Amino acid sequence: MSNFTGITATMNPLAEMAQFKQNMREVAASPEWRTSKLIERQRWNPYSMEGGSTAAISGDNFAIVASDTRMTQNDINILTRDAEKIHVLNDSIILSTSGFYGDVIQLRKVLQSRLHKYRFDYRADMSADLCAELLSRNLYYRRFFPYYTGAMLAGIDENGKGAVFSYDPIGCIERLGYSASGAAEPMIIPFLDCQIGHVTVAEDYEKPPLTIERAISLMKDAFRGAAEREISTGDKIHLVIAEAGKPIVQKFLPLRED
Amino acid sequence: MFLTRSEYDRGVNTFSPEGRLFQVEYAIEAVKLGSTSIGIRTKEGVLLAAEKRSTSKLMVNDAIEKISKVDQHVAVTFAGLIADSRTLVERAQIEAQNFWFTYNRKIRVEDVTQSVANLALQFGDDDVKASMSRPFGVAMLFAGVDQEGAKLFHLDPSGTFIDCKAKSIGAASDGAEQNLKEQYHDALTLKEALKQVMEEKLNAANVEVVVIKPTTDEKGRQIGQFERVSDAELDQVIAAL
Repeated sequence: MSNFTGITATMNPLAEMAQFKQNMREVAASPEWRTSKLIERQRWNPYSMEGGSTAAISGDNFAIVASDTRMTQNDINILTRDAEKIHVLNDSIILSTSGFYGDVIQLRKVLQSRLHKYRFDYRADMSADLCAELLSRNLYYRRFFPYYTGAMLAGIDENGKGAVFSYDPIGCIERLGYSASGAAEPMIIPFLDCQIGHVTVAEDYEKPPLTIERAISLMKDAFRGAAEREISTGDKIHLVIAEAGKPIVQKFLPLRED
Repeated sequence: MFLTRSEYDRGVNTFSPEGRLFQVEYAIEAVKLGSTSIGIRTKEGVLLAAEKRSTSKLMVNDAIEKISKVDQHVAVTFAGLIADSRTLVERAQIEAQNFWFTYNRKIRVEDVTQSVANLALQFGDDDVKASMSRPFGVAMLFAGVDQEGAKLFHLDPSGTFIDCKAKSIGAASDGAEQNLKEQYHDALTLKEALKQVMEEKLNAANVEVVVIKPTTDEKGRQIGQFERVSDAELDQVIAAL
């Protein structure tokens, strides 16, 4: 330890103080907020967020998707109370979206045209499995200018099982039992984790099986809860129910309008 | 049939007054000049066999490839102008890869055939749109196993394709097909099919054989596996005849 010079040996307090004063003068002369932050604020943003939330639950032979129908500007100004964020693409595929509505419209159009062409090319309706992969590819094509859509794909897969596919903005795909996206995602996910995933309940807590009735009522609860606490979520619940071997059913239920 | 030559066999896409496209019909004739290929569909998979005609003993016979791999689960063999087949096989390979890339799923055998059939008709004498100035002079047999099971499709130069149980194309196709008609039954095994083929097709190593056997992929879906039958295995079958 005797020959340890340490930090103190290289420090010169006087020079350091002089440097500090110099830095202070520079910062006072041109503060950061006047330069970089100001430029940041003036730069045009290609994206806007119209708020709203969406969630999907899959069961053994069903998938249900829900979203609110509110579209907002800056979370406060309601643009419309009838924005549809769930898009039924064919008899077994449901696309649900949140985020930037301009991208949502474009993405829906891209998928619709691909599905249309698929029918002609392969003489069959595309299955949810295939569409899930197709969506993933399409999102990744826009790797450096992504669709800001928070997309989820739900439906009945080729084996007649309910399916929910969740994506990040650049197409990382995951098949899950349930998922949510949008403004109230941080509120809906823990609720579903508790009620469906049973990951946040005690060992001996009652864990009822997931029937379609239970899934629907959980979905309603999730959105009532979200509308209570999240201001860009509200107006109506758009509920879409896909059950194996049955046509897709769509419902609209009232939600808080304030 | 071809003795009545007329102006109508010049333009590749001009109908004759009798409603015929002579160049396409001639292309179908070109197929009959090619070496023979046979495809047989069984419950245990599909078998393709192709005769490799060597015109000279100075020719290296192993270098000829008469059965091409389109994808893991699809093989194709052809008769006619072999050079023309390269374009078509490449289209099949691209289409198969493209489907897999987009949908993460192996393409159906019928859909590969369909895409090649679309290309087969894209000929014409204008320089702009057409990729080919004349019809392709090849017939092809697409064999494979997909989710729907073992499949065999015959594609001719007119772009028509037909789902077959067994089919022969090329020079000796008439005789071979007569035999197939007599011998084929629905419970045929791959081994019997191979024997059948070797009876048709003579002797030793001037024949190339590929089988596509059904297997399952990592998600449990049915798919085919491309396998070349080795010379040793062929010799065994021939010895047992």
